Amino acid sequence: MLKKTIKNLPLRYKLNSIIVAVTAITISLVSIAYYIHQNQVIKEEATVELATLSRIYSDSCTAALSFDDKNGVTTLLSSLAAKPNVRAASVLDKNGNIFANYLAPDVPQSMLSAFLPHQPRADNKVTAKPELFHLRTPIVLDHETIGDFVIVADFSDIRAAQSRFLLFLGAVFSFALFVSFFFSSRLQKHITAPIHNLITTMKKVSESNDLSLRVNSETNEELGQLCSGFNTMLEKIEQQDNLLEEQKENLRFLATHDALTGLPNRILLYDRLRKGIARARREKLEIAILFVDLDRFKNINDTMGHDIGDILLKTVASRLRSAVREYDTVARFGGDEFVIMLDSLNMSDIEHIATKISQAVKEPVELQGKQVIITPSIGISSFPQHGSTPVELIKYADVAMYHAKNNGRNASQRYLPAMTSLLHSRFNMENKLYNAMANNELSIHYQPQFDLQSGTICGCEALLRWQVDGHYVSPVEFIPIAEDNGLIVPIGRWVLQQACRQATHWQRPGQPPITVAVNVSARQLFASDLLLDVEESLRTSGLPASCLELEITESMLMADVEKAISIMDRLSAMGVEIAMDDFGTGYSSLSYLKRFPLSKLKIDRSFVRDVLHNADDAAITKAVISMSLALKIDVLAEGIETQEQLDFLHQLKCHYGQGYLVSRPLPAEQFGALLGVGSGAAAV
Amino acid sequence: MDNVTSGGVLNTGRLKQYLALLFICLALVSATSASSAAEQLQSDEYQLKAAFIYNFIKFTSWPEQIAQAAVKSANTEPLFLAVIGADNFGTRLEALEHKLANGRHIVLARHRTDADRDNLSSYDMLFLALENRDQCLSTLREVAGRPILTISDKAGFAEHGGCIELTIKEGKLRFIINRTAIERQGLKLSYKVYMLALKVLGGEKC
Repeated sequence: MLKKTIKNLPLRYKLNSIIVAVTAITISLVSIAYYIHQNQVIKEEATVELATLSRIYSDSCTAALSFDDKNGVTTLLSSLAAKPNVRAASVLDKNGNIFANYLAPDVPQSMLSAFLPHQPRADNKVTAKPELFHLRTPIVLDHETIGDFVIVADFSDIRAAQSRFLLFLGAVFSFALFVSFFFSSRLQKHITAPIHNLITTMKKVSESNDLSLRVNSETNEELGQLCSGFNTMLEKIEQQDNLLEEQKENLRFLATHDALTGLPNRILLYDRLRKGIARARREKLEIAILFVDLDRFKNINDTMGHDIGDILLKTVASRLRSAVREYDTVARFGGDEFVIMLDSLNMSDIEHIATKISQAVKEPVELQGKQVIITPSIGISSFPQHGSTPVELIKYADVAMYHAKNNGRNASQRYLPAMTSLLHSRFNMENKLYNAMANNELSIHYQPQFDLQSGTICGCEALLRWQVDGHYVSPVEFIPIAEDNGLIVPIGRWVLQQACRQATHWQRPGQPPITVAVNVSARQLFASDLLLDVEESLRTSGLPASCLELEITESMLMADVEKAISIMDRLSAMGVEIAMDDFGTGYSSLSYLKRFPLSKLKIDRSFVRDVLHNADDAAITKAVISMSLALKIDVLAEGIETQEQLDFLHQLKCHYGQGYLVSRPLPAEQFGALLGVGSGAAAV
Repeated sequence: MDNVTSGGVLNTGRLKQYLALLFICLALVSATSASSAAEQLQSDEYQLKAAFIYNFIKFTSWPEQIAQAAVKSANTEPLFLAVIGADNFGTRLEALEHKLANGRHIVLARHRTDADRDNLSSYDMLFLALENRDQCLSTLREVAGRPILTISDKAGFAEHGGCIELTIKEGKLRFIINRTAIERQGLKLSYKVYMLALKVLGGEKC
């Protein structure tokens, strides 16, 4: 208990105590030694004095005793009154009888008698009784003992002297302790003050987290070194802390901002929205959310490359930024989607700002020496009118944006409650698409392809269908999303496997093979495992490679032509057929046609649709067909809807056709049934 | 009761006899004790005087003695004590003879008359018991200046130049010292003795 208390005592008290204790011990030892010595000396002195006195008196007595002069002896002894500590004295004659006495005023005879003997002589012995000493000295005259001198002394005054001396020592002791305490409390400051300083600074640092604090120290001994060491440590920690803070700041920025454009990302946008909504709710203000999507951005990305796409995005980002006020938030929401949060505006102002944004984005951008114009589609929702959570507001703005897009792009559209088909929300769709495969919502429909000459079904195109809550979602809507977020790769793989397995069942012995055409996206093509996926699908299904046809669009090849060619070459080497989809809509050079290992061209439905009424479309169709004939590449016309179109194409010696005239895309079972009867019934 | 009465009657005569006897005894005892006490006083006076003389020897330093004490050799020379005149010591002084005093044997000589005092100067100490005052004075004159301690119990001895005069005061033996005389004789007497003197002539009493 005590030990613990001492342990926890502040250093200065400890030091003080140590110094005082050491002083006390030293002084005590010295005092004790001195006291013992002094005691001895006092006693010895007293004894010697008594002995001397005895000798003098015994000598003085000789004559008086020998002359039997009692008066003389008594007179002599009475002079002992000058010695207050002599209580009594007696001169004994030769026979030990009392010859004369001296008694101090208050001393009774009995006391003296106690020392007077009829007993053998104890020469020169001081008999120590508590306080009374007596000494017996022989009285010698001419070598003859003629009597004894007995003296009784009271040494109580010695004891008094001793206690006085003890008192004195005690006073010295106390004074020394006081002095040592006084000095130690001053001296210990030299040691404890720097430590105290150190501790104070340490506490300050840990309380205020202010690492710029330093300890002051003037000395250079151990404590000074400790202080400077502590300072160095603080400095290092401060540097580390600053570095950490910087990195944290960087990380925070990275976590909340888009790396490409430097705009806030989704996370920060949601945060700002939450705060903005709270503030608006409190101050009864309105907030507008603008969902900006760049029209046909994918095309630019695909044709001019991602690097150029990135430059465009950056340009648009900075234009958007400068089109709004300082305190409005412009965030990059996805690939080519931006969300703008506008605080406290009138609805008329919103229209104005939407126009301003639209104008800013529409300014031509020079990319690779070309003037490119990109238009935005803008969806607008507002708080509290349309929703009260960030998710709702963004969703409705997104829905509005899709409406704008569907209505011919390059427009801004305010959200209306009538647009509640949430499926149109890209945001909503994306979330649902993630679960589509797991929920078995995806299915494949097969649209028959037929030989225009013989009128027989020679194959089919596998078309992905997504049915959510009983509704079919258009591939035009969800495929771009899947391509953006990469879901297209697993979905594409699944389609490939399904299609191959189905096609295997449709092969009829002794009859021409049924080919299955599968669409491949750019992402799939450039993902290195397309070859593996194809190989795997063919192997597990047992479908001959020549029965699999991969459809690719011209635009997607342009991103990296050399790589595309090498992949197509390897697919071709496996025996897989490659068809060019939507031929004529892209920007591709005809020279590539020679380099691509193509086995089929598919004339886009937009040409076929007007082939009878539009001379240009007819000319292009004719040219494509004759070119493919010349290059010995098969040609297929898409979107044949009327008998007239069919006849026209037949005339132009188009080999294959596909369209609603013969059949719309069918589920696998129906297509199988068609094949079962189709050999006879599908006659043109 | 009868017995007592008869006994009482019987014992009366004897009791008287006893009482008479007791009275005689007491008287005898008191008589003898009184006579013996007187006698003792008489005899003790000289006994004491002898003892005093012996003591004086012990407290006195003779010139040779002083010199010899200085060389610290044993004083083997005897101390000659002479009694001049008809003294009353009887044989009491003889008790002193051959006693040691300060290491010297005491040798006693008696001169009953004044006749043969030619060689008085060879003594160390004289006890003058002369009745004739003139004789006494002449003897003192004779030994004047010599290291001889003169003692007497004649009244006025010290006043007339004797060293020590023994006297009886209030039944006690005391002495008077003539300091001048002692110094003139070339002797030294211990201060302790001076202190005990009834009177010191020729100087302050210490």
